[in-house]
Amino acid sequence: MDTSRRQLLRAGLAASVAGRARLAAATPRPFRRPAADTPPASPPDRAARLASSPLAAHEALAEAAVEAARSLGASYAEARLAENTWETLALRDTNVSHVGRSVSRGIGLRVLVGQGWGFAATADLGRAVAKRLARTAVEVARAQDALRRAFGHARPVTLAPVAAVEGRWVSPHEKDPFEVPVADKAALFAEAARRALAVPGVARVHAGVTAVREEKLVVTSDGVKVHQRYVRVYPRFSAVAVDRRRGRFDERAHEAPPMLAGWEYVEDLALVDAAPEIAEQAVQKLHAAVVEPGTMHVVLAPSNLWLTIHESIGHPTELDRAVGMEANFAGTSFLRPEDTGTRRIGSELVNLVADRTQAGGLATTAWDDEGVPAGRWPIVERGVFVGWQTTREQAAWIGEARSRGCAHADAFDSVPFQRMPNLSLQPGTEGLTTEDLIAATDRGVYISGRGSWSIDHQRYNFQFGGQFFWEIENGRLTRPLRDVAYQANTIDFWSSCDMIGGAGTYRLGGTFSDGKGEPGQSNAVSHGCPPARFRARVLVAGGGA
Amino acid sequence: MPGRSDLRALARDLLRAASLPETVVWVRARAVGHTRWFHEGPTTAGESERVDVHVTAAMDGRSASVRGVAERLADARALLSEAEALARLAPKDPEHVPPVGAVKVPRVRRFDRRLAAAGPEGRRKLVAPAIERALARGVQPSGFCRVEVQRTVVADSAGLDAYDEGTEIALSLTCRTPDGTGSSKGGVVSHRLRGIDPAALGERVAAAAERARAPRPIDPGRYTVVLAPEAAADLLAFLRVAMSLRAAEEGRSAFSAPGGRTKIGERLFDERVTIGSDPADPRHPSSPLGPGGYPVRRTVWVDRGRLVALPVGRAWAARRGLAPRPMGSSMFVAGGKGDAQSLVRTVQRGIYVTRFWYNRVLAARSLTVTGMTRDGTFWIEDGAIAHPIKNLRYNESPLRVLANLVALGTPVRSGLSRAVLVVPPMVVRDFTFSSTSDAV
Repeated sequence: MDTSRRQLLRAGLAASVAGRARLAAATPRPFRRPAADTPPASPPDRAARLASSPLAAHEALAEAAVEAARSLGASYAEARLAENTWETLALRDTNVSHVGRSVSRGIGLRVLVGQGWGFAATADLGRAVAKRLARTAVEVARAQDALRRAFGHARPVTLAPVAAVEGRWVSPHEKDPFEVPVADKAALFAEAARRALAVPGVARVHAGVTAVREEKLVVTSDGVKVHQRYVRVYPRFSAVAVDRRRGRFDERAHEAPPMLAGWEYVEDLALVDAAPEIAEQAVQKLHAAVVEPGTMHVVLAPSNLWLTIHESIGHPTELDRAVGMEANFAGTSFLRPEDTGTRRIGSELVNLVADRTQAGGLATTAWDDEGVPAGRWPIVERGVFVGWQTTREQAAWIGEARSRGCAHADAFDSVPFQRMPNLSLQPGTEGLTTEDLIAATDRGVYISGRGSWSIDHQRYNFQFGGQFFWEIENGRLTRPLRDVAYQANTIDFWSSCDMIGGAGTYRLGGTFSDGKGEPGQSNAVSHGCPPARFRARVLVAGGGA
Repeated sequence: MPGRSDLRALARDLLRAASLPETVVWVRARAVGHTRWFHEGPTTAGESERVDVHVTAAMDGRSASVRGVAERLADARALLSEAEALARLAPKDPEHVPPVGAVKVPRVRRFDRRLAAAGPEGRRKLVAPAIERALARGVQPSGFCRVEVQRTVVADSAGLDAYDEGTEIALSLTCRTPDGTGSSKGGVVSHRLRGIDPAALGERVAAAAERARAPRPIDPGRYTVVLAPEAAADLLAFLRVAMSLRAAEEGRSAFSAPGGRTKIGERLFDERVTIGSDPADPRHPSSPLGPGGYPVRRTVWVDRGRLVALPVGRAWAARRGLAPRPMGSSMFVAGGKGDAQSLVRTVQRGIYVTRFWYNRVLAARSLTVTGMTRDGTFWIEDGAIAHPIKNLRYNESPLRVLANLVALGTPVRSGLSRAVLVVPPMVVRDFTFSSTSDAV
């Protein structure tokens, strides 16, 4: 063995030790409380505060709109008062480059007339609005009902029953992010940026945080009146390393996901302590080796795997996609209603559960936008596809008596339709750790963080990147790699899953921008998972094939 | 919906009420109507209306922006107060730039009264022929029609007083064959109703779906491709994201060169490639309002293969002593003659791509993008379409595409993109496909 090879191995050994220490470092604080079977309770005092919210003052308007629609011939009417407040803080290096707030507030009315759906929305919350809104929504519904004639025979609209309910819910949070002064928020990210910029080779830091407060009050002609408020935060931090002489650059982003939580979540991330390591890894990426392409094991950290779950399991199990309602845009699905309970799409180890009651989950709620209580139900059991995401209109399509509670509209002027619940890979029973998965792997890549993502419109063929990549050889992390992507077919990929971490390794990932529908809407949704091992085709991301 | 004078009065009131030295106000009224359907009937439809006010207040380099719905003057004033309160608390930004001031923003004519008056019944009449033609041909139509009307006033405390109004219709149709093996999509986006022919769209897309039936697999690899204008636009749209003088000068872009330089002045592409933007193009107009209300002007970015300019934001322009140069929302790529079919006739063996889907940057350094073909991909043999093929994943850079050009056709506006992308169909050699998919 020549000297350089020995040096490389020694360096690899050091990297391996450091790599293990770092496995956990960039991972956010876990949310590991077991999920509840019933809608999550919010303390009575917090929910009571909703009674004095500005939205509650317009409750009579919502009721009047529903009534007006009924009197104009609607068989079903549903009014949604919604107020979404966003605060965005952005830093370029240590400087604040943007402080912004946005508020959208208004009322949307959805009606069913004959077999046609109609919708009308306005930001005007004046008293005279109810009748005008109802007239417009009914006019729209009549045009849709008339358009059915163009189809000859169209699918009938029937709504699964919902229990009349009146309630309030506020998502759990300790510190309202809107009450933390902007200067204090900026100071935290500026200090983290300062630490990152102290690392030689780091030329730019992008940082910031988005806080969202979403409040809505839904009133329906079926006796639903639910008022809810959600608080979500999304911290962002990334370092860009630039080698100007060689004309190269690379970026390393923190792996903290957005969360249904308050400012306490951002504080607990200890971003300032994590910053130097993020920065060092940005520089490491510049000098890392290029991966040797081929089909091999990939060990995927939760910070990477959540998005693969979202795209390859989350979207194809949306029933509206499977029946073709998204054919003109988001696409359809490789799954069909008749596959339910029979089609194997993964190995025996693979269990996936939808859960709108999960602590910290971005799609967690007490009731959906049709007043259906939040629940938890299986999507994949021991590798077999068993369950769909549905709304009241969709339940009958698969012979189910009740909606799964997946209706959601992202703003007052958006039409509610089927959106993804939190959908998570369940931990293995053997209590495996990330180290166990790596130790069992002869040759492969360990991938963490979210990188590039792309998948076809029926969710077969996908390709994902990541934030950081380690070569695995003979059960050890040997050296960092760069420009790695993995490619697979959904069923091959999940069928190859042969190791899944235990409950202690389970983490949530998530996104604010689950996109679907025309006009396009964004849904906030989380996906929990342990690390897991698969076989996939690994390729060099930057250089062609 | 409020008119120009209402919006202007609101903007002026806010500027008068402002208490910090720098204020920029955007007031935008918007009405959107949509109609949606799938092959088993209509799904959602709606009408919505809102007025949004966006206030940026600043003092001593401290700045904050607040945006919100403002149906009444009191709402708008509350937004102004909130922006001012936030700005006082905001940390200083050393790169803060003052308001644009009394710059003349040219008016762009893109308002169609007939379109603005369409309403739900108007949309129904518009989409019904497309659906009926597709059903008559035995395919399954899904689609979407959106009609939007907007009026915007931008004014600032340094004298800017700009106005823009426009209408837009987007109509798209996907047809799938009942056996689930063929799919096609077509669409049109325009500021006016004239020239939109839904029945012809229905015929064209239905026929294309039939041609796409029963695709055969081929091996991934490097192929000569004919890109329909929509497919070429999907790829070239990534240039818009990557083109930034600042990123290039700071070494963070595919347009950065070793040694701290940029690639401006270099010949990067085939010499037939000329790329510009122009909000006032008479056939394909777009908004003349750039960031801060600064006007978007007609600009050439790539001249006969040579990169001649990159967009510059206001802060970077101030630092570099340059005039700001926003790109706006249009991109015009020059071309030659002929449609995609005529280009197919020039190709011995290759692949015809009608559109791409789920395109994402894979590597920023090389601007490598990944995505899938969708809604009709075909094998070309001896200058003719031989048969449909299964969809493919590509990993390729639009920079390489423009360097590997074989031929260009006549530029047309992509009917599947909201941005004004006027792009020719093109023949490109050595295009990299990395895997196949069963997706239809």
